[in-house]
Amino acid sequence: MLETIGFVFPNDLHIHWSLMIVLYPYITGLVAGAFVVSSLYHVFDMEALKPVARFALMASLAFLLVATWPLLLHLGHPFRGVNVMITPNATSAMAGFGYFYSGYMIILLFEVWLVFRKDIITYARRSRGLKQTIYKILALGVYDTSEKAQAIDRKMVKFLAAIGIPGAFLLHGYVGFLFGALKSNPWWSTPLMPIIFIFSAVVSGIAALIVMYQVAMKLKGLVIDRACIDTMCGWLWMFLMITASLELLELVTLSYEKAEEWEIIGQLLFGPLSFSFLGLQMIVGVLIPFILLMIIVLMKKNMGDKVANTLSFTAATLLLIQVFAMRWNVVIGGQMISKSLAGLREAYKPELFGKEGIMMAIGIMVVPFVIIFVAEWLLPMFRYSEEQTEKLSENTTTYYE
Amino acid sequence: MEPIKEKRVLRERGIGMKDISRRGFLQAAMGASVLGALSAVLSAVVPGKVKQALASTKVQPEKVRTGYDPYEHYYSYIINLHKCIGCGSCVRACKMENDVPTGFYRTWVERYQKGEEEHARIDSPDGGLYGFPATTAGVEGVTKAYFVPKMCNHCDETPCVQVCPFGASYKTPDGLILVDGDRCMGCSYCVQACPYGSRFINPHTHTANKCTWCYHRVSKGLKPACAHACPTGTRMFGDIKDPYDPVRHIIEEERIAVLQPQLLTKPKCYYIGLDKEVR
Amino acid sequence: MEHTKHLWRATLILVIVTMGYLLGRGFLVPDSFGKYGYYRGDNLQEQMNIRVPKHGTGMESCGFCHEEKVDTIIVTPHKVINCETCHAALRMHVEYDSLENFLENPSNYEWTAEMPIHSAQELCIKCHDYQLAKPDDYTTIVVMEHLEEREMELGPNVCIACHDPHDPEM
Repeated sequence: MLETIGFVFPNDLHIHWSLMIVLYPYITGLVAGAFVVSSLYHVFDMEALKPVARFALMASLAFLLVATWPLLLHLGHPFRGVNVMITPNATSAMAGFGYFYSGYMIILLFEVWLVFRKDIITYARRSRGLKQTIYKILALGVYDTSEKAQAIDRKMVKFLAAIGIPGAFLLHGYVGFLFGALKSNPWWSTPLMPIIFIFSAVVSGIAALIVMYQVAMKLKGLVIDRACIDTMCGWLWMFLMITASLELLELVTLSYEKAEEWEIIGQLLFGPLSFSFLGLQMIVGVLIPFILLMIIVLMKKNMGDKVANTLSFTAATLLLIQVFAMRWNVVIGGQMISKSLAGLREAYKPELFGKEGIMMAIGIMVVPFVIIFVAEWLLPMFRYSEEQTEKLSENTTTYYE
Repeated sequence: MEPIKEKRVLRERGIGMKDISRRGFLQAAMGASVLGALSAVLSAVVPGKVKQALASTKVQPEKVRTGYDPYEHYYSYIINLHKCIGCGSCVRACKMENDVPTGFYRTWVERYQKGEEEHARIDSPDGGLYGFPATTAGVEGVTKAYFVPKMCNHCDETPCVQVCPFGASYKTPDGLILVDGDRCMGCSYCVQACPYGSRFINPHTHTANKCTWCYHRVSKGLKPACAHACPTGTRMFGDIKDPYDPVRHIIEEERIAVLQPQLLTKPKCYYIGLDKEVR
Repeated sequence: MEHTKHLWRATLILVIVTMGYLLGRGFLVPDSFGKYGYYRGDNLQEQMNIRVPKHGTGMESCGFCHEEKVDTIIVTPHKVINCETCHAALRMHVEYDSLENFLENPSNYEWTAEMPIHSAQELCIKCHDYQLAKPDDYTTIVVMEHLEEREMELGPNVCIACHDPHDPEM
């Protein structure tokens, strides 16, 4: 039977928002975070991020394409979900999903298309067979690659990347609002929730890109651009500090005010949730990456490439775990508190198989990488890194360490 | 170059036969906005006209069934905690009347036992379905104890209807909060939003379920099954639009309380004799 | 503007998709939506007919056939208890298609099953066994003491050995 501590309302014995609902904000967080990295280059002209800009955009799209899947698997009647676009309730945050998702999808598709358009046309002319058909469709029958057209494209991209930032923040932030605006659950109810979600989304996006960029470069035998890694680490460190401050602020304020909810929340955080909250989210997830990133950023000039890459890879991996733990602690932790505020559910163990199980979650997380591989086959994303590698190989004997 | 080849080269370079000048751009913009307005109007008018044409052979249901007008009633519920004996008849009657699945409760009874500890010991074995065992281990020096029946409060400013993504959960003209089982997609947002733990997801229909004040009985002038079954008069159901209703009398003249008043959900289940320990 | 043909093409696709959505949406909104509020109005009627009421109207509907039982109980303290509280719901006993039809013409309906009679002492004890939580003005006994004084053992039907549920006072 389900174990409880204290008094739990009879209907509260069941956890309704499962692993899938933990996964959903994680995925949209990666979408928003990857997009922010790409926009730092396209809008704010950070040249150091040029090696990952195109890849970040494609990664954002790859994760966006699977973002609905956890929701559809969770719903009791997934096909009725289309009603959010037919008769949306203006007072419901969840009703925003249809519009935020499709709106952001349109912006992102448009931007990806414009960024890769020159390549699409070039490959359309060079290729044969199935690939050529795909390129021709993507080109929409226009083969204009003149300087003027490219200039117009770049301006459009800059515009889209700029409006895409609030678009991505809406797509991910509305989930934070969904939780934060519920007065029934004191662990969720805070105006800080959308902000915490957004900032930790950016953390997860940058961390994912650091990991994926290094893996991609190793797989392709290209040089890992140190300046790019350094810049990403710098931004990651800053966003981590903000995220951690917000999460800690939440905790400190609750414990200081000692209102009714602190009794049960304190019991939760230092009891059943202590491993994933204190252990994973705070110590392993914040303290250690904070130190690692601080070392990378402050000792930039004295650090060799290999060391920097290893440390940043470690810190990024730990942060990916931290953000997942944070989503888990919010979604599952919140449901462990009974509405009576007088009891806790002991634990939630997701099933291994089944439509909301662990294998399904792993499966969903694998799909974006498959999409990225297909995208790489269709439209190579690392032209800049290839050029860098060639340039370096002309001057030195070893071009990557 | 020959004219035909020249045309093709120009076309490939993205320059159309008609060079789109600034004036052309404005024309295109105007055309687009007209198109947009037209499509918005069409989307509102066309489906309606088409549906009307198709539906001309269907019988149009007029108002609600003759005899019951939801606008003429507004219901409330009184629970007198001085009288509850914790027999669980209400829970059993509700389960029978509404085929409530095992492990879930549309109504339930809690028992509070206050002794020397800071907080009362609260329990609700199977929601009170089989009554309450006389003894509970580990509760010392109990000086005050009582039963509290609970159910959906059918709040006037309910958070559950507020968060339903597309109006599957709603408030009726006669004050009840209901769930449209044919539209609900089982997202569980309403379950999370309810501060009283009244809602659940039915494991068979995968939609949100809760106490409906037995609307299928109330609309026929009967009482909900729980009020009907209560042997001590703890539960009273009434229509506050009826000037002779005793429930209206109590609300207007007696001292009553609601659960979690600070949340301002404006519940319509009023308790007489509510203690500060009640969650 | 020159060199913008590709942008117009993409915009055209977007416009077509949006118009398709707007048009399609109009067809998918349920007919009765908005009739009483932001919900499908037909559901109001559906909920009124969602099931046939299983419980009747209390002693009135049981009294059509069991008048003598009602006459007995109506002058005892148990008059406040609905028959269906101890026995099961009316529809377990008489399967009517609609409660209104039954109430109008009860003689049209025949009983289809035995009405469960809870003679097990459980039912009596659920209400009358002493607990601090029960109100002071409600008749309770400490069951084990009550039985010990009379040298009786706890078991099914032990209460009705002495008490008639429809006339419980000794």
